[in-house]
Amino acid sequence: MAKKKTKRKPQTKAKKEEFYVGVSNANSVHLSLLESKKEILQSMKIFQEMKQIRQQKIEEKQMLRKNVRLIQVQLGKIKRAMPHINLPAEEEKPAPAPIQQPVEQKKEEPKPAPPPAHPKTELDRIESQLQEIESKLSGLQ
Amino acid sequence: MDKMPVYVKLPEPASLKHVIEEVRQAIAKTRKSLDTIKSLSEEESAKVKQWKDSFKSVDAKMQQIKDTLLDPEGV
Repeated sequence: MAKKKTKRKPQTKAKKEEFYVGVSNANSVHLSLLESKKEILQSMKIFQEMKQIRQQKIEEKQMLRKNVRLIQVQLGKIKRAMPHINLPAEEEKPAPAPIQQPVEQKKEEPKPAPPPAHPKTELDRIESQLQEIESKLSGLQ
Repeated sequence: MDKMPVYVKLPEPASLKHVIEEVRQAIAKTRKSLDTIKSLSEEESAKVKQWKDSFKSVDAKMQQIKDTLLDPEGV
C-alpha cells in the first residue's frame, strides 16, 4: 500500500519591516524620558493628595451638616420653652414722605418669592421657614 | 402702653440656659467647619492647578521625544 503523502503548506513568514532611527543625542532622549516618568509619578502623587483633601472636605461637610441639625433641634427646644405671647398691635405710624420713599422701599424690600405650596426639598422647607420669620420680624419693626 | 416693658415667665431657666449654651457651641463648631472647608477648597484648587501644569510639562517632553524619534534622521 502506498503511503499517503501529506503535503504541508509552506509557512510563509510575514516579513516585518524593520525601521531604524538615528538618534544623535541618545542621552538627551533618555533624560527626557526619565524626566517625563518622574513628572508623571509626581502628578499621580498630586492626584492622591487631592483625593485625600476631597475626603477631608466630605468629612467636614458631614460634621457641618450634623452641627446644623443640632442647632435646628436646639432652637426648636428654645422655641417650645418660650411662652407664646401676643404683642399688642402697633399704632399707625405717620404717612411716609411722598415719591422718594416708595422707590427706596422697593429697593430695600424686594418682594420675596412666594413659598411653594408643598415644599418638596429641605431647601424649600428652610426657605418657607425663613420667610415666616422675616414676616414676623417686619411686623415687629 | 407701647413703652411698658413686657415680662415673660421662663419655665426651667437653668435648662434653657444650657440649651442656649449648646447652640452657641454648635455655632462656633459650624463656623470652624466652614473655615476648614474653605481652606480645603483653596488647597484643592491649588493642587488641581499644579496637576494641570505637570501634565503640560509632560506633554511638552513627549512632543520633544516624538520629534526626536520619528524624524527620519537615519534609516
